Amino acid sequence: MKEKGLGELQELVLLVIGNLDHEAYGLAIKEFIKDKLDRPLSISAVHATLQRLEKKGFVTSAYDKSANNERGGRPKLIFSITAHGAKTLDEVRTTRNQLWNGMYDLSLNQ
Amino acid sequence: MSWLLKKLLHADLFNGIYGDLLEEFNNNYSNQGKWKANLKFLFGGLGFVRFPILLHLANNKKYSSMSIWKNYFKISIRNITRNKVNTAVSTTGLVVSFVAFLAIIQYVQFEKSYDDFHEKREQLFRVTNKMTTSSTTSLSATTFYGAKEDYSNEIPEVIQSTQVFTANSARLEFDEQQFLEDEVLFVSPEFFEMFSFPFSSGNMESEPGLNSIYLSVSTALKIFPSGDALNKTMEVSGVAGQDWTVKVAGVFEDFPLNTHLRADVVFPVQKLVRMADEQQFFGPNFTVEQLRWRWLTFHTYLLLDELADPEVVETKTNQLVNEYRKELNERLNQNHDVILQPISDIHTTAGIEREISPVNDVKIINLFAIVAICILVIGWINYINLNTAKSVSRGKEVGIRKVLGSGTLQLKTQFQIEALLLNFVSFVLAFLLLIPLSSALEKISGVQFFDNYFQNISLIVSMIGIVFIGSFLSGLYPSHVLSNYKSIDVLKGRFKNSSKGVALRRILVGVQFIFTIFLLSGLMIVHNQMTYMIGHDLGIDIDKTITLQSPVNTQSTNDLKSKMNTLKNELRQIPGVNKISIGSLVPGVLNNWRNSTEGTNAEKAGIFIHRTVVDHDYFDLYGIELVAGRLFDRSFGKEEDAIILNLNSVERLGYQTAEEALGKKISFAGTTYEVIGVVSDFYQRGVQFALEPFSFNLDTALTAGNVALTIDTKNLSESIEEMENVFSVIFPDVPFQSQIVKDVFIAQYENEQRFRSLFTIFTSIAVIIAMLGLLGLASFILNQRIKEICVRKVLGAKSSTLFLILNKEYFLINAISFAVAIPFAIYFMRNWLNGFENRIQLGLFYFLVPFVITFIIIVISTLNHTMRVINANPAMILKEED
Repeated sequence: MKEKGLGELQELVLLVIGNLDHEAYGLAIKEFIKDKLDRPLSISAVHATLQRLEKKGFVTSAYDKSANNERGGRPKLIFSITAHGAKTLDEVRTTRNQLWNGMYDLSLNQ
Repeated sequence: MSWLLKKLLHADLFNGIYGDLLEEFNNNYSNQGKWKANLKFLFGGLGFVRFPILLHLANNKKYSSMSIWKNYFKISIRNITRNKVNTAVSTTGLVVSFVAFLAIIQYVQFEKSYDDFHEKREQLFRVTNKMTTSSTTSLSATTFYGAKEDYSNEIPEVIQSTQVFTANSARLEFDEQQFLEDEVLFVSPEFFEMFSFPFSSGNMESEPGLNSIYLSVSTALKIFPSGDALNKTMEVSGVAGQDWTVKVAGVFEDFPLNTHLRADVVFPVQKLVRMADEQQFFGPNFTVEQLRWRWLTFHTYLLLDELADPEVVETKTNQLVNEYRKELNERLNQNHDVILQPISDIHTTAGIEREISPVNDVKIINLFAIVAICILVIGWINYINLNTAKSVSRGKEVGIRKVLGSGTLQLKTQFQIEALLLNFVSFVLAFLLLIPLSSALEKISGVQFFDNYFQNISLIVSMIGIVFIGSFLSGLYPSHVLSNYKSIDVLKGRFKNSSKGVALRRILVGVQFIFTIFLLSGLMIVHNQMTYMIGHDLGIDIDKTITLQSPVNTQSTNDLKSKMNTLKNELRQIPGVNKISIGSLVPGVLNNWRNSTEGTNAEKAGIFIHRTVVDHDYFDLYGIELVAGRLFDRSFGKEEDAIILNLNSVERLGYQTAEEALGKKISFAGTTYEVIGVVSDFYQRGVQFALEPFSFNLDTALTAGNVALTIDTKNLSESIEEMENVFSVIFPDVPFQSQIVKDVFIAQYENEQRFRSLFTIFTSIAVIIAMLGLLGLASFILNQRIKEICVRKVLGAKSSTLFLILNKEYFLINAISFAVAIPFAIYFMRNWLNGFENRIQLGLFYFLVPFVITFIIIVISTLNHTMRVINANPAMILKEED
């Protein structure tokens, strides 16, 4: 099922996945958002968002088979952006740009 | 946590998520420490519950039979919340009956659980002594001093044995502080091995030091608040007239509440034996060893082999006691038999003297269980009545459901779930209510037992089981009625006039009435019996009497005589004090000094008579009347050989008249006395006991110790204050304790009082619930008959006639219930009354009054509805078409 529409947090997480390249698993995403964007999220909220994205077909997930002692032998669930996801992101960005371009001066340069 | 998440989370996600959690934990562990990391791990994990998208339930959702169940519950809850008044009435009835039921069952269970906690309970038996003389048979919880050792040595099946001697009280002194302890036992060292009373520190060795003392944890804490009591020394006084220094050799856990044994302070029994010999308890001619099979005041317990047959052991003990006492029994014309009583039966067996703690007759306990079941059944009947009455308003719903395709079974399930739900909510409410109510109930019942309510899992489970089955049954009928409505009839509105099921409801109300009449008449009989006992003439005058605790035990005897004389004279000076006397016998307190008569004349020998010593003023103070002969007289001097008997002793000794006994000789323990007078009988311990034989010797030295005074009750507290002043000047180191005899006497009826108050409460509850049920039935039936009544009214019937017509059937139900209830009431109450020596006669009165009361209850609870129907405007009612 492919749905359109991207929530604010969903968009953010999607972008973070892109930034993290192939190391995008739950905790890494959480830490990234916390460190770089100064926005503390709970790990459960991150996973919930990831599931929503996956349902909409924006991301896919696969287990990284290399087991890791730090994680009690549990593999990482790595997320990556699908073509549909990339396209949607692009569309969002285009829309935004268009809107920004058409906007009158917000007195930002005052 | 791993388990929980695995259960909850979607299987595909679990490993990834759990790995994340662990990794985060490791990071936090090294950065923030163990505690914080743990906390974050916990909350992080629990956080997942918030997101249904991650949980497997949401992802596996199927439309199954579950959803119809969900719908049942939804509809049930809607219905329950819609009719708030109706729900409130039926829940109240259920909650009240559940509370009463739970409370009583807990009480019953507690009373029956006595001494069930001992690990070896099935092998533990008490040696109960049955003494038969020519005229009497008496059971005593105590047996001979020698029984413990000799049974253990001679009977192979007896693995272990122990003996217990109860002392009235002991005064302990530590660091200049005095503590008066009431629960004092002398025990042999096997005691703590046979019974499951663990030590918290120290131990009782097999050869304990004579000057050892053992304390309960709470007593130890009271005396040594700082903690460690072990090996501390203190002074003991007030036990058998001796003072000695003791060392704390052990501290034992407080005994549980449900044991017949009570002890805060324990001494080794060897100490008692030593004291008895040193102080010549039995005169200069006898040592304890010589009286092994005569000293009859030891509670003795045997631990039998697992395979032993108690009956076989019983015959062996019987042979032994008769062998050891052969000569004595023949001389005293007595017979002693042994009964081995299982330890867990002790608390529920009535009729045995010298018990360590009060017993509760199993008959009374069972009566309570019956009351509990009565109340529960009344509660459920009530629920059935109210619910079927309510069903009128649900008729249309049923009709529509049927039209839409509901089957009878589905409808039944729907209504059954409603019933279960309501019952369940009521049960939980009742349980919650029980917690605050329990302290009040504990006060009334005098038993502290609710502490262990929640520990008794099996009881709770069986309660839930009973409630579940009962709820199911009580929901069965209303759901049956409702689901059988014909949809066409209902939708047309015709069903209102159907009289289906009214007969059953009449029977149910009848059952409620039977219980109510039964309980009410029981209540009246209990009440009157109590009043009768309290108001019964005791034969002694105690209304204005005060007694002072004896100072004798703690005093050395040399200057006691003069001190007691001073005390008597000075107390007499106090304004308000009318009479004063010193004597060993105090009304309401069991007299521990009994002897059997001796002599060559077999008929007059071996008869147990209470011994007492009194001063010259004793009979005057208590208003005991002289029947024949004379009382002690100062002009006759010390009168050491003279004895006065009461009529009961005269009778037991076999004399026809009081005059015949005068001048006769009587021997006790080697001393012979001449009967100089006979006095009237009196109830020394209350009228629930039979009249007892008493004898009186004169004690000019006033060493008996118990001071009794009659005083003007006007300035009671002032008089007592002055007495204390006088007392503390003469006996500075003895605490002053006074008692109003009337109060002591009323406390004798404590068990019965308790029974009465519990019975009153539960009967009122039953009556209230029954009223509720009647209310439900009345409203249902009256609504059906409203048209009939209106027609009658139009045709000219008077209001009073209508009232009679409407209530006729209840009166009939009441009359039938009355006839059914009476035989039960007579049977049970006669049984109860038989436990009393002096009892009221059962009369018609006790059954007619409940009948009238239920009659009034009927009128009151139906009045509102009846008046509404009678006052209805016929024009308004009759114009409606069906």
